[in-house]
Amino acid sequence: MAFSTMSFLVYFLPAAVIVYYLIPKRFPALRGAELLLASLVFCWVGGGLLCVCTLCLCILVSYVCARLAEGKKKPPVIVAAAVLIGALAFFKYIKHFSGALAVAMPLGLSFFVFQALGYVIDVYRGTVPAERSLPRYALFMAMFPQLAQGPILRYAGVANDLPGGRATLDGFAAGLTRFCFGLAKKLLLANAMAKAADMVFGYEASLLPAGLAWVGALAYTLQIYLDFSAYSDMALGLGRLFGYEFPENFNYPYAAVSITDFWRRWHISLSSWFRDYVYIPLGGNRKGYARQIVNILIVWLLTGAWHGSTLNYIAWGLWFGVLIVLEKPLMKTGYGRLPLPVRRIVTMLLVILGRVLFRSPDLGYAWRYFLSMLGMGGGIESGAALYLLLEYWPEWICGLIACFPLKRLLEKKLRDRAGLGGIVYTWGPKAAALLLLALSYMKLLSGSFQSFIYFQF
Amino acid sequence: MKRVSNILFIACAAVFLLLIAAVTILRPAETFSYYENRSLAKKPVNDPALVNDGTWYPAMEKFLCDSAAGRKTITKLCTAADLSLKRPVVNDVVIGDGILLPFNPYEAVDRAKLKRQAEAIGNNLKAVSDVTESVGGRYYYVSVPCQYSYCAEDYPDYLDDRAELTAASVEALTESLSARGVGYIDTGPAFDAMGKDMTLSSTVDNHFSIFGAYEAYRIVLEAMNSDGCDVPVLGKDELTFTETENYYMGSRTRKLFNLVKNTEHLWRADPVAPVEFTRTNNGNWGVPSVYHREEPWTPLLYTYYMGGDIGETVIETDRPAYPDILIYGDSFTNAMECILYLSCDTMYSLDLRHYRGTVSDYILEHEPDYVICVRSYESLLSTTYNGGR
Repeated sequence: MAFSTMSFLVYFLPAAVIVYYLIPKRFPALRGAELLLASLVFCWVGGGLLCVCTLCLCILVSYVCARLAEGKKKPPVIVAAAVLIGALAFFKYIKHFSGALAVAMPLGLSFFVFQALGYVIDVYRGTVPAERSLPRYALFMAMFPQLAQGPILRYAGVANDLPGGRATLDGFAAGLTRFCFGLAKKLLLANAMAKAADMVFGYEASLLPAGLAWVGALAYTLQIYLDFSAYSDMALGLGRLFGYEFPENFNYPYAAVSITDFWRRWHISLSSWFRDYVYIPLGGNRKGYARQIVNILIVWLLTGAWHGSTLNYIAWGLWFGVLIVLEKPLMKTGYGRLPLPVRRIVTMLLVILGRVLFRSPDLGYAWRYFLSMLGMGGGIESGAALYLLLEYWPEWICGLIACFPLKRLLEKKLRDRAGLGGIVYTWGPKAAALLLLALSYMKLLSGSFQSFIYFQF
Repeated sequence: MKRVSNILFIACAAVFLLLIAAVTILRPAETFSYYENRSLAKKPVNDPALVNDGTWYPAMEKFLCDSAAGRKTITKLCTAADLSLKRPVVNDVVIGDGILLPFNPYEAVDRAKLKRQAEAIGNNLKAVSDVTESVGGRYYYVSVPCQYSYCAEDYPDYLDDRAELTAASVEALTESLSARGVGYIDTGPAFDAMGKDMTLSSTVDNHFSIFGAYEAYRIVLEAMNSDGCDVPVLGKDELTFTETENYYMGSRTRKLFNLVKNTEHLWRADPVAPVEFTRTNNGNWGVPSVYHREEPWTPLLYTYYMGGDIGETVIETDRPAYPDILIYGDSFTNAMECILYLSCDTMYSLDLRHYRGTVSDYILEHEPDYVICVRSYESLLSTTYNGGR
């Protein structure tokens, strides 16, 4: 079930929130039970029985293995890793080996598998104690605001708030505001960019004129950020409605000044997961430069494989791995002293090329697409490119604005102001959120249903 | 102040969402959306098995969106907003200067694919042609220009008018049908020769006007007669053209919720010398008229011509000296039929979207003298849409 649907927005969410707050605060276990039940219903309705069963299996396996892994016992960690990664690999790769066994991947599997595995490793390392209560642990794993597309939670981050959450009026209002902004980002901006990108990537790559190929790549670059960060905004907002504060997953990645910087700002919960559970255990940068390069490439190979089972995802992962490896010595040269805007543009160009790899159905298509971007496909000029720019001009402008921290800058300027500035700071975001909620509802009805990009991972 | 703003904000959002939920549940259910010309989604059965296999939720979502509070008004508002934002294409309609055209998705011309399609439809048509000849009749496949083709010059340079695709399709089809000996009449060049007279087309609909329908009728019958057929052709002076008073809701106007008004009206053509006839629709006696009756205040749709969406229509003029003609194909036949029956003893018309049997069986049963399949350039090579099989 996507957050930007009528079923969720108008029925499921109000019902879940109302019932949650009808339960007095002094019964946190009951509130937690309500949220867990709502989450399982969310999972069942949105993903079917297979999704619920897979989620329950992951919860049970990681719960038991974590209990057994306490005191630095390795075998339960290996068992948990085998079962969890095995389940993920089965659903991701089985279609390549047996068409008859191929089934749709359960909703959010990639995310909750990593969340469960991270928890088991944390318990093994002694970072957190194993959770004794299965319902509390199940709530941590299944909580619907983050179930489908993260952020990938760490148990230590939410353990103190389980099971009832720490709901406050301020937190609720802030969460609702954030949710409305995320909803609008998805429905008003990301979906329009999706239409543009889908149109371009629907054509044979070798026939694309250069102009259209670039417009398509830009549209997809905007779409994937607006879409995924919108989901994260909504997830974080929903978390606060129930009294949970989830970690930020994005920090304006398209304002990054290097590829390394970009990955510190993009899908932060996944990057930090790979850093803490793969890169550092492999030795990180502690075992010499050559080993560091190998470690980086391993991490990025796995990141690519996590996103998809086709070769273009592997190539996409390695593309960033190689860029990060090359960037480290490059930053010590004159490149590192170039003005920030220049480095931002170079970074964005490299990211856009990576997006083409990511969006292409296969490696061959991506190669032909790159050639078309260089004018070696269907020529240079394209009426279709102009059409896409004119048709979605409001979305291009607003989408670009949303990629940069103007909102944050404005908030900072108004925060400590008295008088009118203070009034705008207090009322402005809420009024804007209400307007965006109404506009989103309008767009939801006038547009057709479209699921989030990151559901497929 | 912050506390007050928080409470007010939460209350407003809650009232908004709960109001939508309540109105959606309580409002009377609608089953059809006039401006979208489609049936609205039905409520799915509440069956846990459907939830388990993941099919219930998408169906429910579609139903909820279709039956949501204020849907029609909101969709209309969004269309108005898109128009005011000066988007070149709104609801798949190209907003031209005094004309509303269809948006054609950009499509590269793949000649090999067109050839394959032309071969496939050529085989289908050859089979029908053979059946027609087996009962002593003659078969003709006819192509007519649709709005995007006839008004190609009205598209902005950056939008696709499909001129290249249309030319390549006609070329491939001509080759395919010629190789199989199937009669083919392309009315496009004759229309072009008339100098793009805009009274022949519509500015708000895909179809030609009754004047365009008359020209298509004339071009087709003259081409048939020059091929050795013997079908009487009415001159323009044998018809009276009358403008209807009703507002004309073209398909493009309708897609835009009638927010872009038009001054175009539908016309009708009646014979100067009246011809008595009887009409049956799907075997039942119908009103002996080729124009659908509407009240003066009701907007007219293209279904004004022949009524539209009827599986089988038979018009008998009881003039044995005239030929029996079967006409089928896409909706361009409707306006043509309003004139064609005047050249027939019996005119049979099939709408294959609704007719249960096959064209071949129908021909064997009724043994018409001529069979004409009329399709626009849009569906020329399609083996699936009306008239392709």
